[in-house]
Amino acid sequence: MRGAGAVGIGGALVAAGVSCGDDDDSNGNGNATGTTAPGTGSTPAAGTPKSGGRLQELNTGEPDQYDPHRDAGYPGLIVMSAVYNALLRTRLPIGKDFTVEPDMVDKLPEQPDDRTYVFKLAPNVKWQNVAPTNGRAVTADDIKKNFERMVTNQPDYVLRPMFSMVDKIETPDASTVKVTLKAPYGPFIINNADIWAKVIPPELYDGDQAKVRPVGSGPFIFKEAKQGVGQTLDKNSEYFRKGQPYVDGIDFVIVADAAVRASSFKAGNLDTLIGAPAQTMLELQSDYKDANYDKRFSVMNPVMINNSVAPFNDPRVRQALYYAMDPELITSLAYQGLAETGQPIPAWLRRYNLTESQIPKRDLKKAKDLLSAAGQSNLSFTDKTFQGGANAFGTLQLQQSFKEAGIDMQVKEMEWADWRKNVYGIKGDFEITIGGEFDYISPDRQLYNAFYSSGSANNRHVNDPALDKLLVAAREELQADRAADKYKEIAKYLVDNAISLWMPQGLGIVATQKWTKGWFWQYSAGALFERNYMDEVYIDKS
Amino acid sequence: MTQYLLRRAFIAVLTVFGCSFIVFAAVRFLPGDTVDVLLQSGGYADVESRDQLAKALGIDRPLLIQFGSWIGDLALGDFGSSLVTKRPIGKDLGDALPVTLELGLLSVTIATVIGVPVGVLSAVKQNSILDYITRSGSVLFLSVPGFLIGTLIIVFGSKWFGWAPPLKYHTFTDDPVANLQQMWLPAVLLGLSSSAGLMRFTRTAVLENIRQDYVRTARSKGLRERVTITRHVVRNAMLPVLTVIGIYLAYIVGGSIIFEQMFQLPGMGRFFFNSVAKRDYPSIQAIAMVYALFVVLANLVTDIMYSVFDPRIRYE
Repeated sequence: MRGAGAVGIGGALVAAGVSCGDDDDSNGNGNATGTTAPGTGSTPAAGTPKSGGRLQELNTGEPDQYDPHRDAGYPGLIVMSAVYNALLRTRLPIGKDFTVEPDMVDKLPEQPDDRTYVFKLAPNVKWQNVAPTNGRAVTADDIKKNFERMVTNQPDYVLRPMFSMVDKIETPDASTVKVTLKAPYGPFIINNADIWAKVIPPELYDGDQAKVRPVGSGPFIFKEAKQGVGQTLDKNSEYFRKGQPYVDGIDFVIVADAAVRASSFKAGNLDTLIGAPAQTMLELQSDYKDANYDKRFSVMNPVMINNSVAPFNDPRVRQALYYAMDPELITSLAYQGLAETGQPIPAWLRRYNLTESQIPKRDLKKAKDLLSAAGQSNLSFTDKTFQGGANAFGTLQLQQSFKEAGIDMQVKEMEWADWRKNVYGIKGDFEITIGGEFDYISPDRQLYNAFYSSGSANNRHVNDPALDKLLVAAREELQADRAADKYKEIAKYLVDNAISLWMPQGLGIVATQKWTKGWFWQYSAGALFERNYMDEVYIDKS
Repeated sequence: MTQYLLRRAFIAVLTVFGCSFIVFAAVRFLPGDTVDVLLQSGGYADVESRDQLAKALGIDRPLLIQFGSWIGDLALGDFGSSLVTKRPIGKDLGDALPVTLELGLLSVTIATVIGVPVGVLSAVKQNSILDYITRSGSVLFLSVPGFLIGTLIIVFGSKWFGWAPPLKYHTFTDDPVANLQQMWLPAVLLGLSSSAGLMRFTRTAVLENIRQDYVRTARSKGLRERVTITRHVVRNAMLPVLTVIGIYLAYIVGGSIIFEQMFQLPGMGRFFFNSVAKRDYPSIQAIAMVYALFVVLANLVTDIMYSVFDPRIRYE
């Protein structure tokens, strides 16, 4: 089934002579490629959309701010995602592979050569009819300025690494944007569908306006935010997709307590439920049948290893840790059985996943032999984590499995901001650290920044020329299938050399009320991507 | 009396100024800073980027200059803007403070309405069944944390009755009924917990007074027992109880964060918690100063009331 205007990432390169994948799970390992539409897979089927009603949504915390280019965190992102559009958007249904679709443009960009992308704005795309944009049309010049803003050399503008390869932006007419890159760069299309790569009107560029009050071209208009209460969005009745959005508004309510989230959902006060612990959700599922439930991934969970300090600069020591790890113990105890094998690329990005046979299996003898060969039979080290981290992420189970291999892992908890700055940040002052990792829809963003020797997120201090070469080759590959093969090759290299250890990636349970339709059930970490489709949500209590 | 008031007011001002210095210094001893928080979801930031952002936020300046600038603005009633949300802190404080004050006043009212009469009754009926029951009840409410009872109410209220606390906060002026629907349960839980302590304190105070010579004199004059207790014993016993009520109010205002989280109340505790998590220095300082001011004022008012009710105090 193909959604209108939708193509897979492979299809994005048709103009460059690249073929699409098909819609089926053709490779036999659960990796569907190609296109899907909302309401497929395990998503409750959507019928004929009905207009009216307000969606009651949970927000898990107080938004810092609402400017996606300037590192807005998750609570801000889910709000502003309903206010802004991007050039492209990603659809990622549960149990399926993702697709990239046009958002503010009428079709995916044309690619006259391997460095040029031509975006054509969709007809009638206009900014919301509130100050300061007052309903004016979105122009190619706005898009040009948005690109320039995303690569600005200011510290809290986080998209620079994703768009710094842009060489030239031309606007041949009011609705056409021609972007020329400095060199061929495969992830350019997917980067334009990134949740942070929204298009912000130039009227908001001065000072911190975009941080305080988002005004975009999206389906909902930001009405107000109340500290500690939530955010109110109203329907944009002049939205460029005729007839959408269907609901009259969205009320985001900040609910910090997991028990209150669950009880409010059960009482019908929330239309969707995310972000409650697995145990709470399992109990709710058995207790409250009148809802739809499914699973999606939590964040990635690597054991980050400092590759530059002894003894971890010896690959045999790192590999020994991989063979000593017991993923089954971690999955059963830390995740109540709800987890899949961890990989260098998020488990939900199926097209890049390694097969089970490519990932090291537990082998205590092998672990001990490797340690002995490296002269580290009595290996002892410290995992630095933040407060509460010792009892999370499967750390206790990892500690136990290491112990069975004669490895002593001490755990040191630190104050969060201290850990964030000195350990998890670029300073990377650790031997081992466990504390989750952001996962992105672009494997380039995931891997290049973290493992390239001068990568902006190389806190593991990896300096491996062979790996650098693989990473550069992958980002220069434009052909989708070949790019996927290259990323798999990198992933294989990372696990073979145990640059990190990837512990099981947990699954969380999400729920919607029976009457909540078209709420796009996403299969992603951080639950970010569903917010691209708030214009499709409707309420049907009939 | 005027001299006494002036002396107390002067001490209060000194205390608030001392608090301002401690608060300012303390938040800067916390590991990590606003820059770390602002750059968090991008993953990483190099030293140069961090320095640039610190400069833009004005937190790279010498501490004394930052302190002087902050205290100067504060003296003019300007709390500044949040480093994180960029919203004016005064506006957020104006929204949060009434919520916490309302919760505090309701709780203290409930605590007083329950704790004081039960404490008097328990003392008057010392060593009776009633005394044992009320004392045991007070121990129960003192030893079981209110948040545990709150959690049980939420979990089992949902499981058995499909009930959940209201999600959206309404101010009392906007919608009094909706406001009280949201407030009553946390206020009762906080009030019950405080009433237990208040009851025990009242009981002790009444027992101390009930054995005084003036009570014996009143009884020997033939005054009815009820009159002796209400007009003489309770009135005198209430002096220390007043102090305790003042302290409870300050305690509840400063310590209601768990209940605010649990019952969806956008008060000071929640605001403070979020600000600390984000290392939002101006917000933390502003909230801490409001707390400090509140505690100092509560103590000042208590002292003044004490001196009004007991003239001996002002001459000491």
